Amino acid sequence: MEHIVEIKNLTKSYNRKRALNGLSLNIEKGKVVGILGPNGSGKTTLIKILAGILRQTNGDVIIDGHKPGVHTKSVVSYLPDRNFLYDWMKIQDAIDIYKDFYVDFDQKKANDLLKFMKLESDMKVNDLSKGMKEKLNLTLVLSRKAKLYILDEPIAGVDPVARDQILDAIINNYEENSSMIITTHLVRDMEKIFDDVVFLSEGDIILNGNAEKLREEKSMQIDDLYKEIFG
Amino acid sequence: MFKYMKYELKGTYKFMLAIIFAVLFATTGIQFFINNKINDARNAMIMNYLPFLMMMFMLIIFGALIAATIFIINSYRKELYEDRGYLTFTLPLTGRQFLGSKLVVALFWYIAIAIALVIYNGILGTILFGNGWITQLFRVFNDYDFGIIAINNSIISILSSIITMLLVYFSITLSRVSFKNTKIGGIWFILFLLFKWVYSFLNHWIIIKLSDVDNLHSYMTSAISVPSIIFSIIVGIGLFLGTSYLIEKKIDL
Repeated sequence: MEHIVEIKNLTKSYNRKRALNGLSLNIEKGKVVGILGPNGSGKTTLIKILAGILRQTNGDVIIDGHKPGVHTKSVVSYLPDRNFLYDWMKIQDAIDIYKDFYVDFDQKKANDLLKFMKLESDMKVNDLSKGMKEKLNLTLVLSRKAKLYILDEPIAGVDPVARDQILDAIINNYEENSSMIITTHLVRDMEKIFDDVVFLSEGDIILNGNAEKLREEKSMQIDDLYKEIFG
Repeated sequence: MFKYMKYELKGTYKFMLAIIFAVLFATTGIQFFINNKINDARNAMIMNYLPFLMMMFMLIIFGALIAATIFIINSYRKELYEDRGYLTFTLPLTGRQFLGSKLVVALFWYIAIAIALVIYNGILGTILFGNGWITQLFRVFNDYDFGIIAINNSIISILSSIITMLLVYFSITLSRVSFKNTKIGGIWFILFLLFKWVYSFLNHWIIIKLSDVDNLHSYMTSAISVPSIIFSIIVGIGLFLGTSYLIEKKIDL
């Protein structure tokens, strides 16, 4: 089985506090993996290390055969949990910067997604509502034919209608041969798209496996399992 | 690198053009004021406050350069301290490409401000006062000492500007890497002053000790200090590589 991500004994400490505690995890190519856990469990820390914007204290991370760096940034499509676009930008500028820097950017897909999200290319990023910004960010990230998509809390803080629209966009636009890592604590809304799930608590993996098998073994939905573990 | 420079220019051009137009507007006012006074037969005292007007002229240029510098520094700090860094530092760019783009665009704007000022005021001055000033300027430059001093100082000023910008970038980056608490982000300025002092001290020492001159005055009026230029280039390369390394390998967002 080929792995797109290989993590061995990954540790991250902030001063004396450990955010990740010797975590090891492999992610298979073509799988959608849900990283589940409450706030402070280490989800975002793990994601940021994979995205190449945070350095680990110890351990190894390999993505597509490389350590996080320029190469991995060119094959990873990362959605942060915040608005990351420059404040002077219009939507067209955001599309342009993705087109310029990522050879895997698909302009047609971007146009279709903008239409689906009801966004106009001449809108200013700063004038968009929180939900619209979330949709724009997701449009940019999903318009790439990346080897690995990393989505950090893609539906947090948006209304239920926008939430459904974002979920539909993820399901319909994600590349079949790619892998996807999604962090969330809104498990009920997202569990149907996960192949595998990883339960994270205080920087440790406390349970992981195939989502369907876990449902059968535990005779409950992943959302109920989440509540049982963290409730 | 050129791709990123394009977005740097897009993000900065409105503010920089506003500075250029403001400076041109202010210097136009001064030139017209002088012209009106010269043409006014009742006011023969123009020469008395010409130095004051020239000082105003210099202050306007200095103010413009300060405003541009603050904007350029803030633009760099925002990459390291604000959410826009999540876009910049996930682009497939090396630290050198990122820093090189920032530096080239900053220098481009300084040069653009200087060229716009010189050309516009030269043309306006010629229209208002005739081209006598050009002849005078050539006469001054033909003077051997002044020509050497001007060329020498121009090279040193350009090199010094690059070193200063690199010191600023290095201090901000080092401060971000070493002191992750954003509340004390201003510590970069203390680091900058410290590094600037060390650089100036060593450079001065090299000029005095290693250059073939007896003192600073004769250095200024004789020739370029080759050891000082070499020292500055080495420091510049070191700062560039050091800052690029910190950006690529040590920055945590």
